Formats: sequence, C-alpha cells, structure tokens
Amino acid sequence: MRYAMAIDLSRCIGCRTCAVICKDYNAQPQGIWWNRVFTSGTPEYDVAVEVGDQLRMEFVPISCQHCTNAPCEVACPTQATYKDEATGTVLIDYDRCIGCRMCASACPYGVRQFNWGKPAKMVGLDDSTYEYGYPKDYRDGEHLVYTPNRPEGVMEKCTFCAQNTAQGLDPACCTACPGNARIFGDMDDPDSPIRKYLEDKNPFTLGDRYQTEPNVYYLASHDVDQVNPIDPSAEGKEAQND
Amino acid sequence: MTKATRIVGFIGIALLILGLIGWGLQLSGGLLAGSGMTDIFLWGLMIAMFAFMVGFGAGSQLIASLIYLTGREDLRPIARIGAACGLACVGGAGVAILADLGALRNILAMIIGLNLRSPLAWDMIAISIFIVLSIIQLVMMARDAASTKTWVLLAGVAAVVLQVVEGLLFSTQTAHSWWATPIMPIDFLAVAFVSGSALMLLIACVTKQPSASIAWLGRVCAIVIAIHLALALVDLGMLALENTPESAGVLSIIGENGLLYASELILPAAAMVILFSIGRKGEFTPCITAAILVVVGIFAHRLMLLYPAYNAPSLYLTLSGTDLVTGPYPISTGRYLDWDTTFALSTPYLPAGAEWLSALLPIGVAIVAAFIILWAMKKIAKAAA
Repeated sequence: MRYAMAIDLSRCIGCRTCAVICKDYNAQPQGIWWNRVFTSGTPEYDVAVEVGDQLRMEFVPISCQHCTNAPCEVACPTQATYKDEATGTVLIDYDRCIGCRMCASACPYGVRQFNWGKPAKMVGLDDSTYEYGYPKDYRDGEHLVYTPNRPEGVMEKCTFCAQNTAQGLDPACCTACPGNARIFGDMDDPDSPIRKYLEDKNPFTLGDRYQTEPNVYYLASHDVDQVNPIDPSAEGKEAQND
Repeated sequence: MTKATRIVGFIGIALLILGLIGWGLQLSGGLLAGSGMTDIFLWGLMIAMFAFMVGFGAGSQLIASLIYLTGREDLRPIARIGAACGLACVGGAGVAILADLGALRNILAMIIGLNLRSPLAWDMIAISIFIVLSIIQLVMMARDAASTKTWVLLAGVAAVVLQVVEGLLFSTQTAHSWWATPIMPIDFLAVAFVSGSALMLLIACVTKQPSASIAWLGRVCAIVIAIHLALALVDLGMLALENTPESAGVLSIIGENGLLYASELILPAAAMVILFSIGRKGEFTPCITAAILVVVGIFAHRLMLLYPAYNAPSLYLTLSGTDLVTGPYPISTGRYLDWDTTFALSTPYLPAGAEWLSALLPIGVAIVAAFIILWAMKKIAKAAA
C-alpha cells in the first residue's frame, strides 16, 4: 500500500480551507502551519502573473510530500522521522524527536514546523483560552504521531491525518476542500480514487531536482499551449506560430 | 601556574557560568524561544559555535600530530598543549550541540534508535571515536610511552575523519545549494588546519616559544590559509556557474551579507600576507595579530555557513503547463507571536541576548576542560616518573 494525494490545480480556488481545517483538526499551535497555499510566482497572495498576452493566477497548496526517498527520514539521527511500512506515509514520533532540526534542514519543501517553545493556547474574544482539534492521542504502534498537547522542542508536519486514515477516512483537507481539488488514496490499488482520477492525466511533482520521489501529485491548472515570455527565443516562436 | 594562566582559567570559569545562565534563560523561556531562529532560519549561533569549536579541536589535534610526525622536537610542548586543546574544544563542541537540542529529554533515542543513515549520527560517532583516541593519546603523551607516536597518528586520523564527516553533514543536504557541494568536506578539513595552526600560533606566542618554532607554525598557518581561500573561491565560482534560480538566490543572500562574507575572506587573507611576509623570523606582534585575524575570520566563516543556506529559498515553482519559473515559495516562519509574520521567503537572523550568552558555554567548557586535561597530564607524568 502506498498512500498518496493528487491536487488538481484546475479545481483549486485558493480559499485556503485546506490550510485552516488542517490547522484546526490537527491542533496546530500558534504560528504553525502544516499546509499552505500561495499563488505561484507572485510577490503577494492573490496576484496574477503575465504569461504571453494573458494573465494567469494559479494557487498551489503545499504540505509534506510524503516522499518515497525522503531526505528528512535519512537525516533524522534517532529514527523519530520514519516511513510507515504499511502505507508509505512519513511520520514523526514525538517521543523520539530530540529537536535537532536536521530533518527540516534537509527538506527542500519547507514543510516541517518546529515547536520553539511551549505551545501557546488559543485565546478567544473574551480572553479565555480554548482547545481545538482531534482530541485524542494517536499512536502508530508504539510511535506517538499525533497528540493535541504538543510537546516542546519537537518537529511536526502533515501526517496525511494518520488518526483518520487508520480508520479508513480521508485526510481532513480532502474532506473539506470545496472544489474537490484533493484526492487521496492508495497508489498501489488500481481501483482507488486517486488512481482512477489520475488515469489518462499527466501529473507532475514538485522539486524534481532533489530526487525525493514525492507522493503528492499535481495536475496542471490549464492545458497550456503558449510561449514563455522570458524565453529569449519566444519572439521567434511567436513569429513562427503567426 | 603563571599569572597569565590563572587569568585564562578564571575567564574560562566565568564564561562557563555565563553560558549556563544563558542556556538556563533559553530553557526557562520555553526551550529555544529565547532565540532569533525561525522555521526558515533553523540553526543559529550555537551551531555556528559548534562548527567553530570542532574545527579548532580537530585542527589543534592535526597540528599536534603533524609536529610529532615531522619530528619537531622543539615543538613537542606545543604539541601536548595542542592535543589537550583538541580534546577540550571537541568536548566544548559536543556541549554546543547538546545545548541546541529542543528536546534533550529524548536524547536516549540517540543511543537506542540511532539511524546509521543520518550524517548527524555519524558526526556523533566520529566525535566519540575522536574523544576516546584523544584521551588514550594524552595518557601516552603524559607517560612518555613508546607507543605515543602511534596514538598521536591515530588521533590525527580521527581528527581528519571528524572534519570530513562534519563537512558531509552539510554537503549531503541537497536542499541547500550553499552546502551541497563536493568542496565542503575538503574545505572543512582545510579550515580545521587553519583554525588549529592559528590557535597553536597564538599559544606559542603567549607561552613565549622560540622564534623558530613560532615561524614554523606561522608558515604552516599561511599555507593552509592559502588552500582554504582557494577552495572557498572555487566554491563561489562553481555556485556562480550553476546558473539556477536556487544558486542565484544564494548569491543574492551572499551579497546581502557582504560584510560578513568579506570578513571571512579578507581577515584570513591579511593574516596569510602577514605570515608569508615575515618569513622565518617568527616575530611576536605580527604572528599574534595574524592568529587573532584568523580566529575572527573563521568565526565569520562559520556564521556564513548559515545565512546563504537558510535565507535562500529551496523551492521554486514552475507555472503548471509552462516552463516559466515563477519564483520561490514562502514558508511558515513558525514565529507568528514574536515576529508577526506568518509566511516569508527569508527571515532576518540576529542572535538574541540569551543566545549570545549561551554561546559562551562551549568556550567556557573548552577552556576549563583544557586546564583539567593539562593538570591531569602532569599528575600522570609525575606518577609515571
């Protein structure tokens, strides 16, 4: 079994529901985001880029890519970061993490988040604090991979909602996405939703130069047939097309 | 014990106490909360101090081994101090890395769950082997045993391995163009030679060694500086020729930290010029000036390990369906409460007060350890006599 996620950029509307539900459901402390969404190549959020004579705005959600060849897993000196053999999911055992931050240094996607201090409670409008998120600890065998009471000085990141997938449920971001842009499933099962969705499509992965073999697949927002305006040979190509 | 030695000892104890106070402040404030680090700038002053100390430790041992292997009898007293400093500095470096951990309470996992694929695990193994061989070597030196030369050689080999592993720890992290270069492990070794020879030169000057001995150390220091600078410039050239968005990002950050980068090149270069120009004279003032310039330059070099690595983005996106590289992708800083910035491409890094204080801990440990080692060597020598 190999859990994977497909993100169809043509369905993503940039609402950031995935980032918010992920933060809420996984009880992420203040300042910590396992999931983030930005427009590709723009200095600010929600800004288009000019491609040829068109404007394009593409939202790209990024969280842990659950790489088959995960540099974080190799870097971790204590095996706190490990790959769940049953699902291929990359997880962190909070009880084994020594907080050296080697894994986050090794990750080219910038998805790992560190608890620099005691996680602060959320403060409501009347200054009272409140708790949120999946309320119980979840252990993958002996490994503590989710707890709503985050320990100090440990690393955390997306688990594909291990507490959900263990019950046969989808990760929270997939369930919550209003555009159904996220599809989760087992890449080794030809009948799984992700395999069926990706059939006859041409997915791509991020950061190929790092050879990490991600298990998060992206689908292009457009079938684009246009020249690159910053390519010096673009003018020649345009002339040819004319 | 001379007055100067006593003063150095008291400074060591003072640094140790101040460092413990700084570390205590960081722990009580919520582990590493009392720092300027973020989820973008993941390693700070303490890791720079770790690399600085381990370079001086391995380097001092390398110079001690060189002295023994080249049969420089006049430099034997310096070699003994060098070997003691080697162990003391590596011990200080070990303390630096422990003090930088977020969850020291889980350290047992480093033994029961050691991941032998991790460069950090190999770093710890290399440090442990070095410490063991160094202790045996120091005992043999103190007892003036016949096998001393063999143990000095073995400790020297352990120092070489330690620095190469140290370099690999950085160079295997392909997410950072600034580190992921084959030059890195070789340059770590060169920097160790530079650091060790500068420290020995400093000690030789302070302990008023013969001018011929000082001149020899000065020449060694000048030659290894030349090698290090050549490697640093080749590394920079390779980066410039890489011509990728990632390498351009690194070059931009080097430009933003131009003063620090210039310091790591110009200060050792000035020291090299001074040391080459005095020839075989071994004069006190130019030699001690050169040694100090090198120490400051190497500290700048260790800090510059971090800025271009962490503040240059590693993930550039391509607009889907095109080959248009549209730019880097922001990361969550993890420090919303302190920084008021949730996502960023880079974060400024200025060590916090508690970080500066706690960075004194490994130096204090090294100085105090050096005194204890030298005292123990005297005791062993007396007992053997």
